[in-house]
Amino acid sequence: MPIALSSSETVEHNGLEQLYRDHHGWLQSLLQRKLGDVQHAADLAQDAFMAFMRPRTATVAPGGLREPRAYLRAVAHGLLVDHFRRQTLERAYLEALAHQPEPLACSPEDRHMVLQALQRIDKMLDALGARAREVFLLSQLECLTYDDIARRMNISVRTVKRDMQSGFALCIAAMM
Amino acid sequence: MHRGNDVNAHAREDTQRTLLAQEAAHWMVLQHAGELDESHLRALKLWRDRSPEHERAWQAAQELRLLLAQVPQDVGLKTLSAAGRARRQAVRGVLTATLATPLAWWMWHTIGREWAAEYRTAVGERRTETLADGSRIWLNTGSAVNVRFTATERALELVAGEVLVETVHSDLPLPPLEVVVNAGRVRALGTRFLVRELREARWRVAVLQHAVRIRPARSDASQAVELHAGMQTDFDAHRAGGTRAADDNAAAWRDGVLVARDMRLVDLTAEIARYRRGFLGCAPEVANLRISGVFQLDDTDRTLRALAESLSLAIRERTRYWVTLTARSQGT
Repeated sequence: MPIALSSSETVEHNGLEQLYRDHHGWLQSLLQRKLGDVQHAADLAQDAFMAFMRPRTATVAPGGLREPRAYLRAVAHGLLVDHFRRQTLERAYLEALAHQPEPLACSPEDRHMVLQALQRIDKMLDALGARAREVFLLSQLECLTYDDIARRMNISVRTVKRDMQSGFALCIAAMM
Repeated sequence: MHRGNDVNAHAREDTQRTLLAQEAAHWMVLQHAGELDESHLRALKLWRDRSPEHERAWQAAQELRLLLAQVPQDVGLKTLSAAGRARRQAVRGVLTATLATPLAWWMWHTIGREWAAEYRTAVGERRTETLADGSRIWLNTGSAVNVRFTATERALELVAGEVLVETVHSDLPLPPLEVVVNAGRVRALGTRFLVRELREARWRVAVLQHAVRIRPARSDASQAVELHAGMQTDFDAHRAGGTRAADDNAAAWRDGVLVARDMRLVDLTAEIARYRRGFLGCAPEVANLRISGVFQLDDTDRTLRALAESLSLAIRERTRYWVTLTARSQGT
């Protein structure tokens, strides 16, 4: 979701320090409640404040930052969603590794790299429907042909192509 | 008005990126399906040469391949499928609530869950949403609404801009629906109404159907004002002003138009300015011209040209984001 913000002027005006003093407490305890983890909550709260400072790609500014509380809540919510999705994926990854017939001989660095690649792909495919996602993954990760996929999923080759088109378009746009 | 002048530019960039990505995706699909013949390859070459952006889209497609190649087959598929499934299960509950009838929402909330959502529009954008209780909201240009439904309240926090609310009748004992702004609360009494930000901490409420009760934040309950259909009033944190007849066409923006009836040019330009980036004004000598008409909101440049044409005005653009309507000078 595009988030409304116009930070620089208001932040400069109020001073980030003041903002931090006013809002850090409740934000961190909100995150702590949702995460049940002090360290993570502290990290995420920090990230939420950093989001004020970062020059944004899309700065939509209805009302500017007169409601820092509402805005911080929105940012923190987005960070939480991201956090949970990363966590879900990491768990799925460890599970998949554990079920390998022959443990892959790979270093922690390799594993980290793979996990990061998976996270990027996962995020790019987020907007894709369940079927299109499966089609795309079967084609790109299992290297099945469009005919194979159509047969396996009992759909037409045309549908496969359409799903692939959507998947590629999403990924390419994200990588541009 | 200067806020986010670059948003339109960003929106345009986004659109262009999406288009190029779709075209690049088309080539990828052809290639994958093994349907790229000689003539296609020549066409692809031409396509890539069309602009640096075209080439960039193609390079992004190649980087995507590299990224996908980093993932070991079996593990990758298992991980991504499992993660997708887990997430769909997690959001299914939320989706049900989002699409639900009031009854489903009631059940949802009696089991102790809350429903929250945030909606935003950029300048020039409008959108409509159906909420968990079946109510509908329309967000006008540059607006932000946070929705929070709990066991004790149905709050639409209007952070900025303008919202049209249409509640639905329900026999369920739902908590009251209120639009909450920094200056107070507007409670729906089975109704359709508009709340609009006039300036910092000052808001206008117009009721189209039934009634609302307005409670300025710093007033006591006895000073709450009940406002009935066809009436409007402005309020701040201390008090609501006098009521007067609401403009019949106050909600015309929902249909993408602005209806002016004997409106001063200065007021009309101020109104149009809400839907575009940058400064839009008119020179003092033409400020009091009276205009009636229906104006399109989606392409305000065109609207301005039409307006200038019909009133014989000149459009003076100092930059794209600084536009003034003036009288035409002699000889032009």
